[in-house]
Amino acid sequence: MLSATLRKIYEGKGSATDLETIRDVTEVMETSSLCSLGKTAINPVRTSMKYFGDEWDAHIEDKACPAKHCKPLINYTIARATRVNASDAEPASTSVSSTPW
Amino acid sequence: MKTIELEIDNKKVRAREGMTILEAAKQSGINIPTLCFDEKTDHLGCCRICSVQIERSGRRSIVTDCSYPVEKGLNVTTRSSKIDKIRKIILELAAVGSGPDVSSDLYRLSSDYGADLNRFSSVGDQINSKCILCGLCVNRCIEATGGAIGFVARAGNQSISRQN
Repeated sequence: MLSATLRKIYEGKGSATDLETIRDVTEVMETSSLCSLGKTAINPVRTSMKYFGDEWDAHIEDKACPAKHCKPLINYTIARATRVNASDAEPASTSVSSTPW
Repeated sequence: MKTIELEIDNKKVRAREGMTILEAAKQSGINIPTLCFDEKTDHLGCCRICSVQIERSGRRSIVTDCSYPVEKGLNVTTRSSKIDKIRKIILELAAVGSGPDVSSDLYRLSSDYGADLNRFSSVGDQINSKCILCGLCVNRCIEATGGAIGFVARAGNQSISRQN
């Protein structure tokens, strides 16, 4: 449930209600789980929401990943190739500058 | 048999040693919702709908009362905004696995706690099984036959299947 919602946000398909879902589910897991596995499994999610809330908002509102980690949110573009005529190109400097000292 | 005194919803309750909080509450007329509870089977507290808040020497925690034995001086709260919210989300999560056609018990409880059973329906695959994976059938089977059926896989893929 939690991982499916996180994946939605990772893919840029998240909405504000998904954040609400994560908050609700993690709160219940933290307070009413039987053992510490359940109580602490949500720590990475809870702490990242607490300290990196703006990054979560960027994923939801701008569909962008400021940390450039979520692959579905990264777009690659190929820079326009500029044609360079070999004869116009400046020759590489062959002179050896004298040492300044 | 030793008698233990505890407080449930600010009401003094006397219970026998070894009883669970649920049994003590029932005995004194306090109603707590249950789904996987069965008198003849051992309780593991799988469905977690009977979660209550206990307070003992100033420390509070949430436990399932069908599996928690009574203790002297225990202060139990069975209804509060916090407990109601926990039960509401537990019901909503239970409905994800059971599919759109939920059992009558789940439906009744959802109206009591204002739970939206379709809240998480868009997440994950739904199988119309009415099963909330409470484990009652597995428990019963273990007691009767030593375990012919059991849980398979985890999280969203969990189901009950025949043991090989």
